[in-house]
Amino acid sequence: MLRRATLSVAWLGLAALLVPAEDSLDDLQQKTIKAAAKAVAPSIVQIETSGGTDIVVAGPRGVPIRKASGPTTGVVVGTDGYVISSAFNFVNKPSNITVRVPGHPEGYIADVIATDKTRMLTLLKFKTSPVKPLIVPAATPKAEIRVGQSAIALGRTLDPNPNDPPSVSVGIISAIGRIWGKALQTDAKVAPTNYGGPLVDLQGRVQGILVPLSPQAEGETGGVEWYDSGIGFAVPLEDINAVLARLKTGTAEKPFSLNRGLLGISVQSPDIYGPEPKIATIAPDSAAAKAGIQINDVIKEIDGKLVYNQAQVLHALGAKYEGDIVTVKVLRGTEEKTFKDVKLGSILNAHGRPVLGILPVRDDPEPGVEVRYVYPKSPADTAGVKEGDRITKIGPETGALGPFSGADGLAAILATATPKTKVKIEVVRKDKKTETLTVTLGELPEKDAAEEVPEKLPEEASKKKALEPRKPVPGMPPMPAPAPAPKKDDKKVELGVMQRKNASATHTYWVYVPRNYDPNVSYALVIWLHPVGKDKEKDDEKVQDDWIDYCRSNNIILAAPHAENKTGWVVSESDVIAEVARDVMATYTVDKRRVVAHGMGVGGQMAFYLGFHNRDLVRGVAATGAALTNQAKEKVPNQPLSFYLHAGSKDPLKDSVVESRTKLLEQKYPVVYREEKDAGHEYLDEKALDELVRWIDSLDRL
Amino acid sequence: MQTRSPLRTPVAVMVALAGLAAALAVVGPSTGAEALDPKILKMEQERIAAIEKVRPAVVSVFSPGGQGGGSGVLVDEDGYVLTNFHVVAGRGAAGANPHMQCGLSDGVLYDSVLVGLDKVGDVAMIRLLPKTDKAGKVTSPKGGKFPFAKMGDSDKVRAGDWSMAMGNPFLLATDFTPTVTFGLVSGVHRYQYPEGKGLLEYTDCIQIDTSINPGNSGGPLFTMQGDLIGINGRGSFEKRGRVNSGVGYAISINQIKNFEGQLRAGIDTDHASTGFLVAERSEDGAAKMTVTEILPDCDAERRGISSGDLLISFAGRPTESVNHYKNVLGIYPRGWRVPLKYRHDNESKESLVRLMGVLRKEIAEPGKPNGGPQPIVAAPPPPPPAVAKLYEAKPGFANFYFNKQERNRLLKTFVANNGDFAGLTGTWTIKGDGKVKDTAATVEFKIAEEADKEGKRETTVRYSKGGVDNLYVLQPLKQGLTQEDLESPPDSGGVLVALMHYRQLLALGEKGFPGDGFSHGGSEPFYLPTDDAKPDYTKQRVECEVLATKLGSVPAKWYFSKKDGTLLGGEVSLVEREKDPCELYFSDYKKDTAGRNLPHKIEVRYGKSRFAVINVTTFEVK
Amino acid sequence: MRILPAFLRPLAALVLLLGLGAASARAEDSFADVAEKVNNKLVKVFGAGGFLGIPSYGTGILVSGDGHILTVASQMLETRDLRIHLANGDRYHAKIVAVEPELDLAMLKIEEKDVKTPDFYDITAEAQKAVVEPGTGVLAISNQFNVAMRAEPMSVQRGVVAAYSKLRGRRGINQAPYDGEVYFVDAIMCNPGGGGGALTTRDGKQLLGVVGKELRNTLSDTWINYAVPLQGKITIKGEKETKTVTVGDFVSQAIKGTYVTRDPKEKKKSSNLYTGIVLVPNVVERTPPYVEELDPNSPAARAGFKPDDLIVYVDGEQVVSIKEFKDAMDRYEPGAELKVEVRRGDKLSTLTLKLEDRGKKKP
Repeated sequence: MLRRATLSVAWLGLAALLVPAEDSLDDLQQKTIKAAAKAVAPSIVQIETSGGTDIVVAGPRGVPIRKASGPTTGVVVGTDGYVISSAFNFVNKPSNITVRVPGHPEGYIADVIATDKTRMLTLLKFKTSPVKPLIVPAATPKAEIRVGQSAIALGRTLDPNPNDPPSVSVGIISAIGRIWGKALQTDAKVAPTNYGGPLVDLQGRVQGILVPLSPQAEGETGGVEWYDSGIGFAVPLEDINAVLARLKTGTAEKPFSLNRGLLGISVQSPDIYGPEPKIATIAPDSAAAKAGIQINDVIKEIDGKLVYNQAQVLHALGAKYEGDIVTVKVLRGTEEKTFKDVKLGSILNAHGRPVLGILPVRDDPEPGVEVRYVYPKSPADTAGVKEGDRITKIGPETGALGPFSGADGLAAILATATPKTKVKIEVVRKDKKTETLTVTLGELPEKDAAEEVPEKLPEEASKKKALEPRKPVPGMPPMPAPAPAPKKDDKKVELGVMQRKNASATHTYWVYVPRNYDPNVSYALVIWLHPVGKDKEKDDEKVQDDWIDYCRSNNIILAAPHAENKTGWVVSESDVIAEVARDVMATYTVDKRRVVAHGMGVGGQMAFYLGFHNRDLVRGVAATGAALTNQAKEKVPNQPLSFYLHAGSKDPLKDSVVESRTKLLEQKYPVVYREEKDAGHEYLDEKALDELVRWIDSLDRL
Repeated sequence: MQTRSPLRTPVAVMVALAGLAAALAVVGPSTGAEALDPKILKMEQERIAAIEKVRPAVVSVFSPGGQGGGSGVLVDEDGYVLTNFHVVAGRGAAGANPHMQCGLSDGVLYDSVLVGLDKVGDVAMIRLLPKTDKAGKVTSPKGGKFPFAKMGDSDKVRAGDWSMAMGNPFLLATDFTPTVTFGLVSGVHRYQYPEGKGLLEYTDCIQIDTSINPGNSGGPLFTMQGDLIGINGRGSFEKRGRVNSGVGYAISINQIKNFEGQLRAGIDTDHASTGFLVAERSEDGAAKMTVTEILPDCDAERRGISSGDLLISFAGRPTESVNHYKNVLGIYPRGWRVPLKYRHDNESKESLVRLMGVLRKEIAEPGKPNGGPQPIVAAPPPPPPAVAKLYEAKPGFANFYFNKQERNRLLKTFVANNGDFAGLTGTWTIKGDGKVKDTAATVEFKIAEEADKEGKRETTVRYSKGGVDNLYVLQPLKQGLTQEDLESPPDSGGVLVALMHYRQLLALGEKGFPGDGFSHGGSEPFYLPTDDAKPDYTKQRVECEVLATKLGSVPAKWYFSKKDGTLLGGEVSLVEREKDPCELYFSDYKKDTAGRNLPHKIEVRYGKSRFAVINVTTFEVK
Repeated sequence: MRILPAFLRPLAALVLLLGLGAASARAEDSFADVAEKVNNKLVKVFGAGGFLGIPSYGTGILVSGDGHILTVASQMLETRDLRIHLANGDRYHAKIVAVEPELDLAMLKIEEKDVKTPDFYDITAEAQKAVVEPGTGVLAISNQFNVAMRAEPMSVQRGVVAAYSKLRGRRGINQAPYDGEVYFVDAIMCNPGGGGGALTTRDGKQLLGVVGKELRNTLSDTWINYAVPLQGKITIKGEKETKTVTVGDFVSQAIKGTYVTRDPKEKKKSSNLYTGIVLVPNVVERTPPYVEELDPNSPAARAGFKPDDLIVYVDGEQVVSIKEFKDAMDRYEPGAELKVEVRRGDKLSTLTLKLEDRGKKKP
């Protein structure tokens, strides 16, 4: 033992003489960190909420999370009782909010008076003025923030006493200008324990306010699934201060909401790093439309900054608010055009979808559209359109009528029209008489009118000439590209239930094609996204039992990919699902206007994601026992998207599902919501399923 | 610090001041905030500077279509990038996408082409193509040269050192500026089991608490000085699914260095196995690694290793646990020779062992489905023309185009330094005195095209010894030769065949080995012959580039010194794997009248023994 | 990774430091030497498990020269074939000598006779040192994910103390019997096998605590990373007396072999409080604690409670639901006097409530 002793002494001695300088540097850093935290501490408040829903849904996978019981964090932005925090902390719409400020004897009751929906920040105001002025922290100028510089994340969840030092996590600035230019990124641990708290530099100045964010998912809970992963975000305080005055105009009764500024365009390539940003669609009344930007214009510059792909457009516009002014330079043909003072719009002035209120007869090579069904009390009905009529021409109330080819053509023309405006149509009656009718276009969704699904639809839905080329129409306006022609050798295509693998063999899936398949009839495609926890085989069987009869009688093809792992779907799998769908569409005759993503639970969350991120593919989302996890994305003209939401009245997620409906309606999406009495988290019963099938059958409404 | 020389101090002070000045410019205190201690400012400034130094070399990789992707790092100015195999894995011929899109922090998105693959090690090499304008002039990178990171020495890294990871986690780098994370090395020489089909085995890897997440895959791990020490590729994910849980793993850069030659040569390379199994013997106290089973006829067995032997060290590294053994074995490519120390009947021995591969032929490439229902989708979207030009699919290669590039470069250096032998298919005469099987003798080899009875011209090799002419005569390409014929003279392992290959190589090059029998074989160590009973293999070792040839069923490897392209020797295997090859060693090069460089000492070895050593007096090539 | 003989390590360290001299002066310090020193005082623990998500491996801290090992209490320890690997790679059998369920700690000992473990932490001495404040740099060293075997050094992670506060772990799958103060840490260290690891200061000179198990907390509903501090203590309510046990007490008595392991299932006696507050019906999980009505001249009535008051804090602790209010009250004895803040209209007002015994309730 003696030998040991002497050695270890020698060891310590040696160690001591080896490292003092190093030690002191690390100690010094720790002292600096503590000092910085203490400097900001008086401005970091503790927020407690009660009331509100218990369960909210988070992440693109829609994992339901319990609203935690602990306090959350906020930062003082006004001496007279203003506190900024993360919208996440109020996602469950609490009925009571109390704020405790370090050094103040009692808490304050506060209201949400404003929300910044682009950065998911919430502004609170005390109901009573504080007993002494609050301390507003200094902001680090953005110009001084460098990647690699220390960053300290502070919060008030872990320690119940607001007069104790805040909780600390130390990291560095990982990147700047993240989430389309809106946020700083840090590898300090950012989580519900400090959302709403400050990210602080070593000098005790606030670099930004900690929030969960994600480039894919907007909304209060986007990015929460990354908590503590070393991927954290903060909105620069300097940026917040710039809009603080506007946020403060809100009140408890009339909260102010700051929305994203929209140009109102979509570009042609789905690959955001792909080719130059060529405009595919322009929303009516949008900033772009008002400015005179046109389809097929190529965006070259925004505010003088060169852009050569969609990602850069998003970077140039991502941080903008509604009402912001931008300058856009485009290339039209060979000439460059510059649009100055383009005032960005917001979702609030987005339109619904202009409709006549009819269903077309499908697979019809003749010019025009034969009316299969007229919605009762719809504009078409009021104007006197009857089943069996053929609409041959359409045009503005004053001006010439123009022909169009088929339902696609009519849809494209309607997409550029404005609801509630008058148009003229020429119809050829069954008795070959030609009449011209004036129709006041309707709007989908109708203002607070419950979305109806036709009780009964005429059997005869198709002319069964899907493979025949469409008859050319003289002087026809340019049309969107027609569907890829299905394989001609229809003798060869397999029928019935087919087990398959995707190309890279990462996923298995099955497809059901009715035995009575006729390539001349266009089929609806239903992509079933299974829930988790259930064993695959069982689920497959049940779905097939439920659906196969409908598939036969209503010309539906069913495709069911399997998630890679039991824990459920992940966002990246949307590629695989889309790939599966495209494969089916390449082999069989599929009606592009009736491709539906249908899922339950997490499968339903995936259906939402698929719908919003594969606009060119999906036309309908039917989700049961699943809620929209983020804000609904903006509509894309001429890529209509409809929703069928279903929940059991006892489903813990019911409230979230109801809220999803509201979110979708805000964005002017047609939504059907069906609640099943005394049902929990269950699949649709026969009656509901029956309606769902009719809904799918009516997705191509015009 | 007494342990530092006082001389250094003033320098340190100056550095400190400079740092301070710069730091103030960057993170200087502004009104309201208290000023920082200069030492802290300096530390901040140095971290920021280190990041800015290496950031330009970090690559954000996107699979065509924008969805999916990962990270990478440039390792030279020509645009060669290291990343993970699982980042580029896809539908291409070798189970990888020939084409990826790569963003750099200059904001430019470059096309890249697949170069080389190491599927077991989860490494891929791709090459960025500079952007050009319509006139074909390079517009970026600036000056046509890519920024790149300097490779460090990952064996110097210790658990507890700081490290920086950069990359594209969750594909956040929408503007192509990487995410930087910062933390500790948690452990070194870690072993992580392979997944699925034996691919993606992480041997001798670096464990970090620096947070890496999905998307960091393929990205660089740096020291605080900006030296590249690893490629981040894996994490221990747990209950929370695929987000960092404080435990990530990086492939050590020293392992990748061993494979770099293979990768640059466009090879779909393989890792090594020994042909024997080891197990930890002895329950308590220190572990001992014991050989439990050994394949008959594997090189290790021929070198004298048998089951029951104790493994002491492998390639100079002690093997005290299964992990030690797997780690050190895992860092070498198949086909390399490494010294192996073992204990046989209480006698410790060392010998060079040729390593075998690990990937069995049956292993389907992960990009392709193996069995089961077939997909209904055809091939991936074709790469852009600029990429297609640089891509050539071929079994055994990731991209044969780059193999040809490397092969031709190698031959060019050889010709430049040793003269041109092209077309010299006349009579070759090698005469000299020396020893055959340790008895002094004069030896002559003649290689020529001769007519046989039917008048058909065949390459003929004649061997004369000690005045006895044509002791052995062989026409290696003739049909119906017995194994004995081919291996003649006895105990030479087939020197006549070997010398014929030698002549084909020099005189005919690619034409000498019809049917793609001519490719670059990457890098391998070559060991100069020695009669020392206990040789120090580190002294004998020469780093070489390999040319792999195959004539009929007979493969051969030719070793060219990396230093000057000198041909140091070759291995010709009459019977692949089951038997030792015939080893040729060339040295004592002298120029002939035509200025061609010819070896004047030739040594022939077979297995454990030397067949002959010849001091060449005449070396004629016609 | 050969471990150098002890007497060579200082030299190795010296060489290395000189080698890196210039570098380590520039960059952040390396903790390599510290990590190696701490690692030598830790052991890898292998037990039963695999089922119910309990890993079959963990970490332990040597606390005596004779092979006493402090680790977290866990089902994996309940096996006949409990084994440990020392830092030098030697492998031994171990047995449980004591368990304190409420501290969630266990003491093991190497079974083999006269195995000496000269590198160890003197817990009694360490426990004397002061608790460190948030922001203090720490190292966490453990065999999380079982990455190391035999002589391979364990994983070292760095972080800072996020907070020193009460642990409020979610009941259920992740049992958290201990509810005293813990160190919350911003390093992700509570991974499988991490439990029982060492949390030390950056210089390795102070052992702060024992790394905890995988645990979700109710405050943020997130997975947390915590260590039980050596200063941690519990109060055990026996039938007769109520005694306080610190981690130090547990260790020293367990080493002496005098610590009595109790039955974890001992229930606290149910409280018998009377306030006179009638709350609104508890319909959903998070019904806020609104006062419905009050028994006339009950403690609450006397304290000045009014119907429709919303109870927000009890002695400064937030209560967001009826359940939490009841949980909070359970911590008090009759006769206690507590500060209750209620929301009335737009103001918070503080009331002083004196608890009574239900037995003495007036008719």
